[in-house]
Amino acid sequence: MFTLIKRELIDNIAILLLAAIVPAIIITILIKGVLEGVAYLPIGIPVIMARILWPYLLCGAFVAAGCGAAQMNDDSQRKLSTFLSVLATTRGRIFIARTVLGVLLILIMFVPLVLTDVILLRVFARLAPLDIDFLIRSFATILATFVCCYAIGLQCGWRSSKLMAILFSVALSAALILAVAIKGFGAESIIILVLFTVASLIWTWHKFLSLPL
Amino acid sequence: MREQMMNSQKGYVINVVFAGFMTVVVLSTVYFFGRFFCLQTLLDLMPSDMAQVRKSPSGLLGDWDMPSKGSVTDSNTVASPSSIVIQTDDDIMANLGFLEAFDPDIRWDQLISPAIYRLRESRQEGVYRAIYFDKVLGLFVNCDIAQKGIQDRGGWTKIIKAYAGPRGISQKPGDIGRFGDFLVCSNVWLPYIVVFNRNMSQFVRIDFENKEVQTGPKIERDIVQVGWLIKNDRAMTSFIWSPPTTRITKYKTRPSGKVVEYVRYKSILKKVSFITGTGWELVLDNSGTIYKLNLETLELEDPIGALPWPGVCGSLAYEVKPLSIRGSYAGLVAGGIGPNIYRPGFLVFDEDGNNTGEEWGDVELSKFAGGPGLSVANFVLETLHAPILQLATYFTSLRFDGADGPRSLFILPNSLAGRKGADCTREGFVEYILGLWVILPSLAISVLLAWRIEKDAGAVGISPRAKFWWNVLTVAFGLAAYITYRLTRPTVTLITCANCGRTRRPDMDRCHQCGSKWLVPELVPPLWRVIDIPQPDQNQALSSEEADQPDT
Repeated sequence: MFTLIKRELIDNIAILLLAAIVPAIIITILIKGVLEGVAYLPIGIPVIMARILWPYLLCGAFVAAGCGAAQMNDDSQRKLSTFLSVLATTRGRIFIARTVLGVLLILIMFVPLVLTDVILLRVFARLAPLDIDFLIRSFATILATFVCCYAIGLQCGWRSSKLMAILFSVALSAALILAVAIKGFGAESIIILVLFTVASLIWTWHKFLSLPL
Repeated sequence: MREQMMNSQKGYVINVVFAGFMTVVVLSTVYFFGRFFCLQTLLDLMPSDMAQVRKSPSGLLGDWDMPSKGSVTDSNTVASPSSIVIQTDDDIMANLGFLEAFDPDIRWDQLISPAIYRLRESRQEGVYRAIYFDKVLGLFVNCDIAQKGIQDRGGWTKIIKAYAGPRGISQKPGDIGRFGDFLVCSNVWLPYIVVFNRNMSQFVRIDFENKEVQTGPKIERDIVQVGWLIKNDRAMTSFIWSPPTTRITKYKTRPSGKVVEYVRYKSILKKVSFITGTGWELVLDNSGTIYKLNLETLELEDPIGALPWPGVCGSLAYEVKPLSIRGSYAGLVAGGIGPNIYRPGFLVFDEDGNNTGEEWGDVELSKFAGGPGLSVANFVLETLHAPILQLATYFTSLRFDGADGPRSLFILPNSLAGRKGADCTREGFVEYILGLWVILPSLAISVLLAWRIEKDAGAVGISPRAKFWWNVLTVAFGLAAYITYRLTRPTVTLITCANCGRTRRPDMDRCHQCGSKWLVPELVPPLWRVIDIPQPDQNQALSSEEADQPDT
């Protein structure tokens, strides 16, 4: 299993680098832009933090969806799974290794956001104790959105054209992000996202396992 | 073969269930933004006089609004009586979840400091005095926060003055109880805060200045709001109050020598404002009844008004405004937008709590350009929603908070079905059942789609049992089920059945049209052979026959 994960890591090193660099750029631009407008007593949760969340969710979700689609499309075009299936492994294990890489990719995108917020919370004075509820529901929703969009990417990746695969996954992710925009950060969004992720992953799992060599 | 068929069936069911769920979510989102666009455009196009409800005379001033009151002022009569206006805001749908982070009001109230109930700058420069709730301790905290020098960007210092619990005030937390579920009234004019302790059903007055906590008697009502009674203020503009005015005619001589008459309107009453007065606050219970809370005794007095519709839950937006004339309470106005967004309204109560008037708006969609088209488009989008969800909306619309309606994806309390359900609940059982006609158009579309699936499924070779379930699901979920069917229908190439001559699926054991099995030709080899070899002499033939014999 570790060998499979390592192989996925090497195959998708460019995607992982993209996932690490893009969020860093986004956060830098957002913080720079927003810090210039701060002119009030900073108490409680800083406004910057709240303002960062939505643009970050939007960019991160599209990056996750695109990565998932590109990863799966590469597999289908280069027949990687077909090649690996003749070795001593199963398609189920290949799929799990791919999902593990996806989770790693999402964490790479998610950690900078958490670090930024931790720094902001230290920089700004907090009069009242931290509103943990707000933080939990915000981060949980963002994480669930990233995972869900990645799952959508995997699902839409089995298309002959890479561009179409990415575009289709981004379009489907956009519909999902709109659903999150309607509901906001909270339990309702998380439930929809988790169910959608499960549905998408099971569908992809089933399709992946039953594809002809 | 049977096992392979069963695996294929299992995979098909998995595909259908998950594709169906994803289709429902995506379609519901698309419908939502379609309805959003229709309603938002409708409100933008609506003439402002249609969106507003105006009452004049207001009914709050009694004799003061009468045309001729010489006793009011020395020299005039009432030229225009008092009036109250509310207006449906064209930003009615603006309470989408993501706006929490961008709206300045919400940002201040909910994101920055949801637990801070009072923050004011003290006389000392750079020092703020605050009261906040510490969730971990379950206590209110009074503290000062000060910046370490204006130029110093290094940080802030916090000095805690006192902690307050239901049982008293202390310098340190402990032995003063703790608050669990509570409501806070923090009127800036009051030197203390008033807390309704929901666990104990008691009002508690916390006065940090005098280091005093006073607890009132038990309250039997289900209190939902204290102080400023307002909900979802972005859906409507606040009440606009205009006092009665008198006409003053004045004359002015221009440089040319011509005398010009000009008219000015002046308020008759002075010191009329939308404030409660002193010594009491407003309290709202779950049934929509409004009470006075005596801040001295912390007891509820008799009801002084009510919301125009039963219950707080069903309303999209409301506001209650008490009126005070020269410092004494004169009555209140309560209203907003109820379950029906096209019918805002309000009630007026005098100082004794008697209903002295009401006013309701009625939006006529056919009276302005774009109104009929947009309302029909909105209705079509509601009709395309799954019939089973519409049915759920009809029966449960009153259980959902009206303010959550505009951000609903699946159950739509503000839709026609939701409004009809809410209306029919108050009527008899027969009317309640008959009201279900609102779902009929949606049901008709679903039946039509089910018929299309039935026809297609027969041709594709779906089993009768699967066809039955597809029909049931399509009637229940409408367009979502139809799209799911199109996404997951078998895509095998059909071949001609040797028995009936019609098309059949190659992956099924029996022809789905005639039920015949595959006709397998018997491959029995003939006993004779055609051999084309020259006739050898007898000895050679015998030896070659022996050589050709296979080893057994």
